[in-house]
Amino acid sequence: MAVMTVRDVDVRLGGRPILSRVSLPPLQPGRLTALIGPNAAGKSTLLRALIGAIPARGTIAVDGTEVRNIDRHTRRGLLSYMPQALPQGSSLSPYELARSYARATELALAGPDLDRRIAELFSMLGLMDDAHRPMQVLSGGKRQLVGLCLTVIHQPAILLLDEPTSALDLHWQLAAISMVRGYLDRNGASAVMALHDVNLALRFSDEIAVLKHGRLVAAGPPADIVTPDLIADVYGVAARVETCSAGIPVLLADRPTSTATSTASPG
Amino acid sequence: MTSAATETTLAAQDLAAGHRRIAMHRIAMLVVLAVILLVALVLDLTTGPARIDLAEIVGGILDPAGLDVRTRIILWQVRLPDALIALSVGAALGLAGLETQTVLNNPLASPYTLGISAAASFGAAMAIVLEPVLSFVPPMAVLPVTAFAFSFGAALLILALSALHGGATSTVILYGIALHFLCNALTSALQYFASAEAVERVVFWTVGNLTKAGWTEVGIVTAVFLLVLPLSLRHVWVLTALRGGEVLAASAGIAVGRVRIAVMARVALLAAIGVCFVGAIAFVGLVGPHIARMLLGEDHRYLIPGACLTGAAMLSLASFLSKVLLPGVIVPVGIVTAIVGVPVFLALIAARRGEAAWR
Repeated sequence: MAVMTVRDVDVRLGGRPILSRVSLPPLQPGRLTALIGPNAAGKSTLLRALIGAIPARGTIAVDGTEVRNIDRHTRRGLLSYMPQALPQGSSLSPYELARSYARATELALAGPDLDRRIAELFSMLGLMDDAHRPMQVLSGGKRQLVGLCLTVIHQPAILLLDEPTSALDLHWQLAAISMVRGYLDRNGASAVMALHDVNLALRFSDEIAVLKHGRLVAAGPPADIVTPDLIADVYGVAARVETCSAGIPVLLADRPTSTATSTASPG
Repeated sequence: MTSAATETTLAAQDLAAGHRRIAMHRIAMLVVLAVILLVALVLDLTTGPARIDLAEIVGGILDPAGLDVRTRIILWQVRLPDALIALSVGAALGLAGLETQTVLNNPLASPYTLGISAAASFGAAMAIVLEPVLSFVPPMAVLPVTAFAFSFGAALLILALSALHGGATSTVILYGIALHFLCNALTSALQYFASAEAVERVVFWTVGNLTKAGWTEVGIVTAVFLLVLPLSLRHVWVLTALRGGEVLAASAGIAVGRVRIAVMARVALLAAIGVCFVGAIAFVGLVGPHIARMLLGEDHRYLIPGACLTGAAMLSLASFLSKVLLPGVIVPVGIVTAIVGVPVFLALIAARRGEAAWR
């Protein structure tokens, strides 16, 4: 049951500050933290800093040990990062890719046990029928689901997911996040998930952290955080937050406001 | 066992069974490639100005003393070394081409397009032009050593520059192209100032010719290839995973930069040793891996042996063609690979049109 601490994180790239003193609520086991914010807010940069892919100042630690001090092998079982980039279109099949990832990263499973792990993930994400088809003929959405499988194949304690539903239709958006939710519940893992869809964040996350211009604007339980004022300030959009029949808050976006220029242009 | 667990077990068995069928097909393709290689070797060995049939060749290999002196000399001093250097250089270039294309994620990457072959040609041209100055060194030794030093140096230079720039794949290819043109320009400059005899020898060397090799060269190239091959095979899973995309592989904890440097060091050795004895051979390192990939997919457990077999078979067939294209003339094999390689390459492009590979 690993707990990740993210405190006062600064990232500069090319001499330019990208993130300034960003802190997140402690990532407790079983909890999903959604990272929302406009384009160029620093969501992807924060996730890359958390996995140790880019240098950062501040505290990024798992159970008190700085991530940069955790050796590569231990880190694989502890942290897993799903980038925005989809798996490349090649003549490899999803099954071959999953097996090669497991073997290349020295996953302890092999043979029938590895096949069971792959089959379990593929079944959950509707990939069984495509298991032996070349990646290059699969849709972007299917490839994104394969990427999600690769991210959880090691059963890591902490998932860092960058827009894992960006290429998916409504059905598979819900299926993918439900799979992640189920994974967290079963394994006592935690996740930070960058999302553009605020309603998905409201529906599935335990906490929401809002970034704008590389700074943390707000963090806490979804219903407390996502308010019309915050949406107007962060996204430059007039919106309402109403409660649906299932008792879940839903964001209804009405129109861009005159303060829309406060957000960065799409990146 | 719960029904969900039973379903997962059945699904896993389905996956494994599907994969076994694909694996059997690939093993069959490897056997076909091995048979093509064997046929190419037989054609190469039995073709030449002197008529020697297969039975005589097999008999002569098993019992050299049973042959007449002339046939024995042709078989053991000419045919066998030429045929075997074709196999070893072809396999080395096929492996080098495949690994380059995989780690640089670029279908146009090969020792030739990265300037390694051009550097070898420049090194050889230097050795030929400066031979009068280096008259105390046996010319048979100075030429391959210089060619090797230049090509290995070129590969290391590309490697160092790419490491300096974080190993970005496009940077490596751009450096390679720049190096290719620089070496070609320097070779032309040398030819401009060299004697007519030296120019003739430079041209003869740079077109790639198997007849320069003897048993020592066969032994050296084969030994280096056999030394490097297990190192490549140790990386089969990482190389396969890289075909899912570099960002994804890096995010899974694969040390992509370190793997690329190790692979490029192997490629430098294979390409340099491949071209230093026989000259520049175009297209084998570029096209061979593409053919293997079309037949075997991208699981490098099959693709690595496949690229070696394809490269070896291509150069062996080119060696055979070089003896039959023009009656009474042995065309340098580098010319044959270039002429035959272009239509083969165009056919491959046509066959791959519409595919999304390398995207």
